[in-house]
Amino acid sequence: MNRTGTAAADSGSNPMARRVERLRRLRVRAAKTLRLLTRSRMGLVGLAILLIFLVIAVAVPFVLRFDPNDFTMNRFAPPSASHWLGTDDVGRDVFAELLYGARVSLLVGVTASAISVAIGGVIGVLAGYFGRWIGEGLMRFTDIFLVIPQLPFMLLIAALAGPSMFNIIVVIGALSWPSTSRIVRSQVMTVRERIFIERARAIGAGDGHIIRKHILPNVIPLMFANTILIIAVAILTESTLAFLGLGDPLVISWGSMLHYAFVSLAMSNGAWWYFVPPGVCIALVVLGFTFLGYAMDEILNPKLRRR
Amino acid sequence: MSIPNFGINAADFSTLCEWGFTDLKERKAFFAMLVCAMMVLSAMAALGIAKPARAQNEIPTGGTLRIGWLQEQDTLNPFVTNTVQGRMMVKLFYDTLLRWNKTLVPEANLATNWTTSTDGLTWTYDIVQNAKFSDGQPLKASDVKFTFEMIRNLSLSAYYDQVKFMSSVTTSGDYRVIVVYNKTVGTVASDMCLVPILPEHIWKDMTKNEILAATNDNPIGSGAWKLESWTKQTSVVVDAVKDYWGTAPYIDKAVFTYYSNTEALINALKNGEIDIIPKEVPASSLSVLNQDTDIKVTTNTDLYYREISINCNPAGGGNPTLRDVNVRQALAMATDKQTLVDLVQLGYATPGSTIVQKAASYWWDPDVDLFQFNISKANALLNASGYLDVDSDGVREAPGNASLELSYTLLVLSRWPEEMRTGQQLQTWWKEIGVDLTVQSADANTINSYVYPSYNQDMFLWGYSGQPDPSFSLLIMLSTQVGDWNDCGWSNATYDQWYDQQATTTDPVARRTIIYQMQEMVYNQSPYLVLYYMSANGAYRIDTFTGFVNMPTGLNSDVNIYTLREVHLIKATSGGTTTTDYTPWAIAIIAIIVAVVAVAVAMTRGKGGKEAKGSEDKPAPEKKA
Amino acid sequence: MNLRRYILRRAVTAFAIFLIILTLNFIIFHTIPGDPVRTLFQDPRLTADDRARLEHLFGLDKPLFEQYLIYMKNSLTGELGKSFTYREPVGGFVIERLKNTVILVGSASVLALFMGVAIGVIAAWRRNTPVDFGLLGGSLFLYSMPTFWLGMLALFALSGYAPSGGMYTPGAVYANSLDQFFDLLRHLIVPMTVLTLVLFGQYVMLLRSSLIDVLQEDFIVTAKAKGLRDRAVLRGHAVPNAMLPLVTITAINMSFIVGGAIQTETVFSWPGIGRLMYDALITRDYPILQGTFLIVTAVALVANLIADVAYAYLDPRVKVE
Repeated sequence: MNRTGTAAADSGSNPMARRVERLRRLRVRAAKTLRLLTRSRMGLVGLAILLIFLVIAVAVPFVLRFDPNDFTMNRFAPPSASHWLGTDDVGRDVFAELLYGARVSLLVGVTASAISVAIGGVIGVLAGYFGRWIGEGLMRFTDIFLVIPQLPFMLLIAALAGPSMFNIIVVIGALSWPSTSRIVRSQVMTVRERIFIERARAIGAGDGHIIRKHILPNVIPLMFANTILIIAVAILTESTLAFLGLGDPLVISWGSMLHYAFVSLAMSNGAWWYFVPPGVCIALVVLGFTFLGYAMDEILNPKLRRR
Repeated sequence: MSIPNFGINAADFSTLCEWGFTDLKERKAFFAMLVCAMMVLSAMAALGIAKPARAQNEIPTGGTLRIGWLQEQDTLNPFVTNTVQGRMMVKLFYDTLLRWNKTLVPEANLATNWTTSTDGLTWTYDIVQNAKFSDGQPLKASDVKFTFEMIRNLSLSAYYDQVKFMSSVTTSGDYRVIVVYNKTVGTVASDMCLVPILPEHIWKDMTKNEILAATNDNPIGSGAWKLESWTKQTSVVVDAVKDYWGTAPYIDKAVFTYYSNTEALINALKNGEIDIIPKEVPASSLSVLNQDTDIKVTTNTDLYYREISINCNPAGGGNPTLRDVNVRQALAMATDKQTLVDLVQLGYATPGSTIVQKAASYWWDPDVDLFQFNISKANALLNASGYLDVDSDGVREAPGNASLELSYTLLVLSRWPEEMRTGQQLQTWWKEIGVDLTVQSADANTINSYVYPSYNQDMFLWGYSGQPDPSFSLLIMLSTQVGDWNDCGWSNATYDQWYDQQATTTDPVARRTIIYQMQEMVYNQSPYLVLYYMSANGAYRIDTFTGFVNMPTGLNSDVNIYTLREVHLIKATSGGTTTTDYTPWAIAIIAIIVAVVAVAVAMTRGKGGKEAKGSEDKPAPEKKA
Repeated sequence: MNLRRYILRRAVTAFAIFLIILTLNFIIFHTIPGDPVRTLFQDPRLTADDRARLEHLFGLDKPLFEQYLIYMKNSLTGELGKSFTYREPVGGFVIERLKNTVILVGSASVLALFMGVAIGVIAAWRRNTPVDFGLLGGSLFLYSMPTFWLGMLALFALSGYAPSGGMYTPGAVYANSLDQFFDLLRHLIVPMTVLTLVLFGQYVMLLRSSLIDVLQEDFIVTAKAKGLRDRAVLRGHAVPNAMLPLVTITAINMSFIVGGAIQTETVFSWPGIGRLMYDALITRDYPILQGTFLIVTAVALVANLIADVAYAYLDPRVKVE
């Protein structure tokens, strides 16, 4: 990497000033995004839903009146003043489980999508930047994963890896990146051809430098919107895998609650309070992330914004 | 069929229309959507109307008994099947020389009478003369001889234990079989209830490989039933053999329908889609079914228990502290089986004790001195044995080895989600005696790969089903079975001796005394923590059929062959075909299709055609950004 | 016209991808913990002699590379191995189940496509109005629901009205095939509706955004400039063009549809390929799991191929290099 080239390519030669400048630009962009977001009803609703659940997830230990792991003989008790959402098949407080499950579901969603975006981002940037050989190869690799039906593939891998929280996160993260890498690649390819990159290259900037200083700042906002959408998918997928019995059976998530509700015959027992709330929570959180993600996408995708 | 009113009045409706719909076409599209919604809803209403009608029309008729189950057989090959369902099917298609009666005592079957020589070595059976296989060939003594010899000579493991001591099998005429044993065997009568008699002309040219690879999809036997069809993971249909040599079944057909989840199974019985669930009714649905006046619920002990197998194999891996009997006893004292019964099996089971199934009531030892659930006694035992919590982290360490903690992993079969509850509860109790338990869900293959061949597990939760005779249940603990059935690696020379002794004791009382000793020894040594003797919970509808036989192992099993033979219609007139009024369903489907097509037409119509006035068209509002 | 060459190239690529997936599958199979023979027979009583014989029978005593070649050859000729549970060729199961799945998924997809397109057009046309927000919000909400959960709700709400599962009434004897067909419809309606509701949200979103894109294209602007009324523009130019991505999306959506099918079939005991997979999952019948996975992947590949070709054929703008 060529340090001198770096200095010349940027606006100022003082590293401190450059950092300040970059921070300023970032803040301006964030403010603009936020301003646009507040104009978008969809984004606002999404944000509101997510904030509520975030508060719930963070505040869980302070509001829980029951230990979600405490077995009692009070099975399938309907909602009452003491058990707001009744009890489950082993007499645990459903409301407590629901709050506790919020943490797990959000955690799985965020972690898995972070893994996915990291993989997808790296592959997308490399494929977009290096074009020809490496790029083509990486894209064919992406195509393979894009065409494989995801849920069956995840079932296969998760079944072999054994049921655990960690495996679920890794499986979701490692198998849901292809769409990200495609989006990132196409963005990188448009940025690559811009004048300032030509200029940087002309004065001898290395690939690593160009990627870090010029490419990444231009694709990260897009990746951010994509991350939010992937969180929604990851939460849905986690609930599905858990429902099909591939989740960690000892960890309470909304998906595992539905799994236990299904196998413990909550439906025949008429215990709607056991299987309705977790599903509503999943749907709301996924909806929140989807709204937010689409709103972000609309803001950050220049073609959609132009009118 | 009425269009339901969903409480929208005209004023609301016009507001709804003004809500962004600015031209007529669009309003039409919206109307089409609304109609679509209405039609779907009215279709649902039509289904609702169908319900009372169904009670009259959909009553199952004809002599077809519809059975629901949650697991189907793996194969119909008697030498390969590894499931209770498979063994039950084998009993439908094949006969045995003897059979268990309704109180699990061997009685005459193909053999109308049998005698034993005074030295107990020679057994003579006279078999029925009018039995024939489903391909029309008669069943003769030579088929019996062939079956026993084939199993012995090819050492076909499924029934090898039942014939291994036979030194010769001879026939006298077409209907007499003489079996000579090389030592006295205490289990001959129950062995003869197990071995299916096969047609020589079908099996005689098969090699061992061929036998083990056969799917036997068209089983030819002398049984009361004949296979009509088996659609995998859907249903098995069997037809009654009307000219059966014994008493032929009353019903014409039995259909075993496979359900992939319990909700659907229970629903099916409640809806009258099936008539009987022989033994797989989950405890959590018994109270629901009990409320249904058309359904009768039965419970009975099953020949089945679940246990925690603790790795005692001195040559194996796993945590070595488990090889100390004191640790195992402490774990046993810290396990409240009654609570587990109430919690996990909702009270529909019996707290477990010995390794013989309680349903084998003659052999099961009721007087074993049980460990009482007592956390402080368990703690005292561990203290006295030198297991102290040296580093005060809440988990005890082994005496003289501060790095060896009493920290174990319990493997639980993933297809038994309810047992995860057991694991969670054990975690709580055992924590109080300074034992750290990790519960891990695993499939059977994973557990097998831990156990075989090197015994690397700490402990795992498993289940064993037995036979009315306890031989098999006792065999598990033999030292010779380490690496095979003996999955805990426990062994004891005295126990092995007792086993051989009971096997050759023909006097039941004397044999039982030995078997009691064996049970007590294993209980005290605690290589298995037998958690509970499971209950076989069955349920059947009382509106069409009657004559169900409730036995240990449930309403229908490899032991209870009687329900299918004795069950019959309450009213003969209801026999015949299933007639169902599908009209409401047809209306519902057509309504949905029409609705969707209406929307599609509304959307695409007018393409390039006559347009509304230009003034009505106005562009969508711009986004102000 | 080199469309033919384009098709050929796409087909070769698809086949190559399939070979890679096959290889991947082989590798996955060989990472199963434990001894395959013991896994296969789940019978601890097997003697060393038995095991050796079985290993030979299943070709497990051959070198890994040879096993790989045999595996590839077998898979390509449709031999997908034997089920652990039933000891029968997996191929037979899969084809039978595929038919049942096509009935369910096919009807639901068509319904979802119709509904999705209709609602998507309205939403795009009324972009950023309450109508748009309501329609999009509603579709997204349905899309956000876990499929299996929606199924559970339907099963719960309709218990006693609708059949509790399966494709036909067990043990039913039909007077005629029409009767049988109605019985099938009766069992189909609830799972089909559930799957439709879950699937159509995606189409709404896709059609809406692609229509918005198209409405900004130059040729639409030109059309408007020529004085064509909005409605004519929409129907004559915009919608047909916006439908184009739908062709591709339907193929890529295969993955999503299959996911939905697995869940719906599980909840409603529909004897399709999804439930075959779920049941195999419960009993850990790896050959069935892998066989179904392969078939589903192959179907997805073919669907993609068809979509690619259809797209190239339909869209004059696609450069067929």
